[in-house]
Amino acid sequence: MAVVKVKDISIESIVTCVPSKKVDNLNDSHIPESQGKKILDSTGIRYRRIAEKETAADLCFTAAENIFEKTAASKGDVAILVFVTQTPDYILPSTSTILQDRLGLSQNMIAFDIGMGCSGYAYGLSVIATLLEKLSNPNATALLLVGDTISKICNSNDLSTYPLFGDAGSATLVKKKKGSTIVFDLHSNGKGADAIKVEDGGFRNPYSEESEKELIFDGNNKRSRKDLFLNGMDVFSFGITTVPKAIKLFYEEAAIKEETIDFFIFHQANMFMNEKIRKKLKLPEAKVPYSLYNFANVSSATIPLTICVELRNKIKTTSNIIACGFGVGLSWGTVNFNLSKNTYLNIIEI
Amino acid sequence: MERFIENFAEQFDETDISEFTEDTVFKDLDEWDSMTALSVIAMVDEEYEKTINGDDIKKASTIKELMAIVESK
Repeated sequence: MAVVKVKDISIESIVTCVPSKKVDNLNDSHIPESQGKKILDSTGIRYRRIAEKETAADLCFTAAENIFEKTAASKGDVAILVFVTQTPDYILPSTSTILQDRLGLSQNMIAFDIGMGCSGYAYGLSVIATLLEKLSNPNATALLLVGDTISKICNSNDLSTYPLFGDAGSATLVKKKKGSTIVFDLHSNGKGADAIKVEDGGFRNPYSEESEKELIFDGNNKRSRKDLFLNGMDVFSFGITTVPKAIKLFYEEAAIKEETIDFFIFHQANMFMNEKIRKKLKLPEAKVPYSLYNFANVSSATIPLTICVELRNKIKTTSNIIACGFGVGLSWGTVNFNLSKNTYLNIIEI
Repeated sequence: MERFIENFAEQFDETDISEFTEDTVFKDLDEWDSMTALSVIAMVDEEYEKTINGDDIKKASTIKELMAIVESK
């Protein structure tokens, strides 16, 4: 698609919530000692936060409550709630309506789920910004909840997924504000649908006994059809070719110069891939923060998590941000927005 | 061809350069693993501006065969 600009919309708060359980790739019974260091060197991932009882909705709920506790935002103004996840509470109903009730928000609101992963933050932000712009109430706000618990669908005997994924949930509050613009550009390529996939459990391949059967592949890795499958090579070649192109196209179509961008927040896939992307775009290290070492790849929540952890004390009066999510779908999206000194950013644990 | 073999060999840290010829069955090398595979994909992207994927790596057995796939792109 071509670049879309949504005017007079601003991000007021971003809070990310992670589970308190922290596991270490260098000290994990499922990761052979010889592999742990190698995985850390190539992926940049050491620690992962693991949700045991909590769901993605619980993490996002806690993040949202923190915004209402700590800022002047009022629950009564929230007119839109969008929950972006690939790990919802139920097959039905959508988790967003449950969250509307749990958060004590008005029944006179729009609430729905979006089933997207790595590109989900850009997608979610574009959807709530576009909807909010159309609402006549000048005080109306929108709440974007983005989170996943991918650790729950990784087979602990599959080193191509297990050491890479952690869990997190985020809440972003958006409101109307004169002069503030959000620009986005979204893309899709279903030809790559098999590259990142959970084969069973939907209605194409309903869950059955076969879904539990573990199969051995690529040497020693084991997984079943109910587990996450990741074709590392295909995802890598997609990432290093598509993302630099998408960013260059974004510069061109949105008439943005790289020098005017303070920070580039990329989906945190793994260090090897992300650094290839950074170098291809010739971006200085200081402009491209990472949260991989402490938090791993948290799917849809990597962008808000990285903003909360890495930019909390780095935002100038106004900082100009480009965020780019890419992965499962295959799907990718780029979004440009400003954060200011007054934007409430926080990271919390439950 | 020689240049491709050199570029290919550069993705390996421990395997001696003399072990790489156009007929080397690269997946049999001790050092071949998922990371060297990614490095080869990146090398092809950087040096030849071509995109190869997991299937291309799977299909090729020797370095010569991989180069033919790269050239066909």
